[in-house]
Amino acid sequence: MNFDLLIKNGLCYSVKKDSFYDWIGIKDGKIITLGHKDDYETYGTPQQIVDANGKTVLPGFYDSCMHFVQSAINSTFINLNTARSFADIKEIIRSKISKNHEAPIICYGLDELNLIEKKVPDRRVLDDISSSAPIWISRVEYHTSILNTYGLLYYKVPFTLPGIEVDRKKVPTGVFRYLANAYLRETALNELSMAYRLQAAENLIPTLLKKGITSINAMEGGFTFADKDADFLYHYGKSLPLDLLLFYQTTSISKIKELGLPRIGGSLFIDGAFGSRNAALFEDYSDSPGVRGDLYYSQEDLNRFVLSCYENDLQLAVHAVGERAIDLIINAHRFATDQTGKKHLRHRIEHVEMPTAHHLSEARDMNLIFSMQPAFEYYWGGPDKMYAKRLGDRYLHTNPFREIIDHGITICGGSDSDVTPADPLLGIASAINHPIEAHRVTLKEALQMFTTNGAYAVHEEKHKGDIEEEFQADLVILDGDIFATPTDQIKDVEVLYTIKNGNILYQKNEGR
Amino acid sequence: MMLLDLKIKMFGEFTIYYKDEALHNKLSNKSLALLSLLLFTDLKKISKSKLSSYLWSDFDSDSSKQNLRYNLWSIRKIFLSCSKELDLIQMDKNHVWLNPSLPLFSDILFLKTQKISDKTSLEILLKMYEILNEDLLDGFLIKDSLEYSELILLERIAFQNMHIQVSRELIKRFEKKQNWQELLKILLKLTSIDPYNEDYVIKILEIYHHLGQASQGLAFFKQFEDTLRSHLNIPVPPSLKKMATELITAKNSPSTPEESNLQNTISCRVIPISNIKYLGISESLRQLLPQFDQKLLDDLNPWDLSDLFYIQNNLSALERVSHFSPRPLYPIRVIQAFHNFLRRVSSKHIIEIYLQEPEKLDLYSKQFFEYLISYPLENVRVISESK
Repeated sequence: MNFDLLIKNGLCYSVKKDSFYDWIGIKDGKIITLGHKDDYETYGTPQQIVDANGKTVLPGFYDSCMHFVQSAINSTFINLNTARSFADIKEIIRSKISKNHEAPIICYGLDELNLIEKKVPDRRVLDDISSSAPIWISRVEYHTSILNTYGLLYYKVPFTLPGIEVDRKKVPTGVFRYLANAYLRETALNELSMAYRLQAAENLIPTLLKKGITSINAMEGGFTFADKDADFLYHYGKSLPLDLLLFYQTTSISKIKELGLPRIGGSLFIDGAFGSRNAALFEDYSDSPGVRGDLYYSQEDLNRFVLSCYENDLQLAVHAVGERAIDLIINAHRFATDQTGKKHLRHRIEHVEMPTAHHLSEARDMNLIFSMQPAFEYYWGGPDKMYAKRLGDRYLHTNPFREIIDHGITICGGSDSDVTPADPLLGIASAINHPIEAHRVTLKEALQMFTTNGAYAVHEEKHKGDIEEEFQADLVILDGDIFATPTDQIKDVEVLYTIKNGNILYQKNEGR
Repeated sequence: MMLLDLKIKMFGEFTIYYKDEALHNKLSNKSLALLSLLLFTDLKKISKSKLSSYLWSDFDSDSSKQNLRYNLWSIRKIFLSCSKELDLIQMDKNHVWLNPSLPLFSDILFLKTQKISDKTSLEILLKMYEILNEDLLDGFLIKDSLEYSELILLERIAFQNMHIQVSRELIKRFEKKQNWQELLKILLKLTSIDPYNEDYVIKILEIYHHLGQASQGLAFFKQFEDTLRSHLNIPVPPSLKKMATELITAKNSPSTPEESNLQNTISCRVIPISNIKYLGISESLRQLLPQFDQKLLDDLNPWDLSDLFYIQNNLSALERVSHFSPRPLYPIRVIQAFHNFLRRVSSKHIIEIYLQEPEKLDLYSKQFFEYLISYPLENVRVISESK
């Protein structure tokens, strides 16, 4: 038998078996056989050979939580997170558009607290930039929008909606909040065509391949996003070179059944985030006395919804960050488990940053999976960063990977892109180097999060996520031996090759 | 010249017709904008300098005057080339205005002459309502003309308020007459403008209750619940939920005998991806087929099944279909067959067909679904998710 592709001289790591092979033979997109030394020579001449030169070969990475379409679209928008004044906003936007620009100018990431004016700009400010193209700016958490005058006419938001800010003469200032903002987001995001989304997705994929990602759990649609993102992925996802598994962020079970999807949800927000102080806590935020975050569901509503998911045999994923939100969803699962007796659906909780010991034992008992983002700790964990400011000493208890794994709970790893960059090696490094030593995991455990556990979390572990015979040939060759790399340098290890279904889709310095 | 031979429509697409001849295609955008400014003033005089400032504020004084002069000349020329009587524009040294003796009909002039009160006739209100259902100068945007954009903004606000006023007056009238169907149409339109308004939702639920259409009421409420969750991530307020439950499950709800025998709701979402003939109908069939017991189709005329099989291979799973010999396919047969299919299946299920961007559907499917919206089948709900 001739292999289509032979990878030789590698440190080919089979994650589940915790063992190494020297070579991998691939045919028809699958791993056909694995071996040691040069016993591949007993097979015929392969069509293509990659010499790994003693470097680590791993299963292709899973990003188990990524807002793929939003990340793709946002990469085409203008990021205003560096703006420090109205003048900066004008300068940043002008630098990104041509003189006769006519298409909508869409910007995001604006935080007026960083501006010297300490307020969002109104349409007059934006009119200085353009009166011949619509400008739409979203505030950093997407709850406020600003349009220029041309944009007000272009997007046709009814002026009778609550949330439209008006001046003394009752004329809209261009600032949209609450209901009006929701309506505007829906209108503006739906206005982007499927072709636009496809182009944006195709532009993003090389970046993901460069990071070794071959499978993505794509959390799309719903609140703050657009259902058209999910519809796009449903119809076009298979035409893209990565495995994109759609998590449709809706509570409409009839819609999911119509589409024939086996799962529902994703980032269905039970609460918010620590940064915006709306993750739901048991005690006050340390830097905001009296504030404990928000719950967006009542226990009764959540129980009813979760039970419907169980009754319809749908795998469910929801977003819960603070311990009060985790409590709510754990209770809802307990309610549904007791009613149906089902424990096989591999329901997931996304982020689950502050679980208590009670949550862990409940989650273990009900076979819940935690979908976590170790890079959160890299950016915001430890004594000097945002978590410590918001939570005080409670930063010591965030993302306790060690305890979760020791409880027998499966953790799958993701980036929540574009909240943090889609970069599994950064995630792996962050889990190993958790700022709190007690929460750190081993390299093997961190690799599991982004490979075998990623596959398990979407019922794919029998044919994907590992280096085993008959498995899909999704592989990554790193530029080094990750097992011999000092832990603080793992995040800087680069990917040499990314192979999807036996095809080399990325090769460092080869411009693929 | 016949009365009202000249028609200028400014709601929806900006069009100008003299008899059957389209004149708007002959005018530049700036000329059209100029014309709109003259109509906004209720045929009153407007100063040339004001007109220039609306449309050529970035130009120096001479260029601005020159542009205005040229566009006024161009408008006159184009209208006069149609008919010598069409001397649309009048002016003196400093002012311009529309010829008031010209027998033209314009939607905006019509609206501006109306007053809304309880004495306004129903006919006038309905005519106003029909005009106001479209946006003023929809899609007509003039670049680099901030003052003009500002004016359109103010006019749109005024007309949107008028739309609400007219709608409320119509609601009052139809409520009084207990004309539930017409009332429902107006309220459903209002929810497309203000999708989060609980007052409209309550009224709509009450109407479904009056009409004995509990299942439609339930489907509408569910859609509202999904919208709140999806757009705002908030639940329906408990008071509204309680009321909805009471209305929908009320024992005295005069539900139809058909409804009481209904099983679960089945639904499909049609997303047009190309203009292939019958794609919309075929896609609906594909999605609906696995959702009900296909014994239901036993009573369907075999030729209907055969015609539907032409556009949807998944029907081949039905034993009866595979025996048919091919025969020429005519659109009317496919349409009728699908109509019969829906009628049959809706005797046991509520069918919801969601049309995403219906304007992009293939022609046959589009026309069929439009027909179904105008002439609905019992227990079949077509929901347009237009942009």
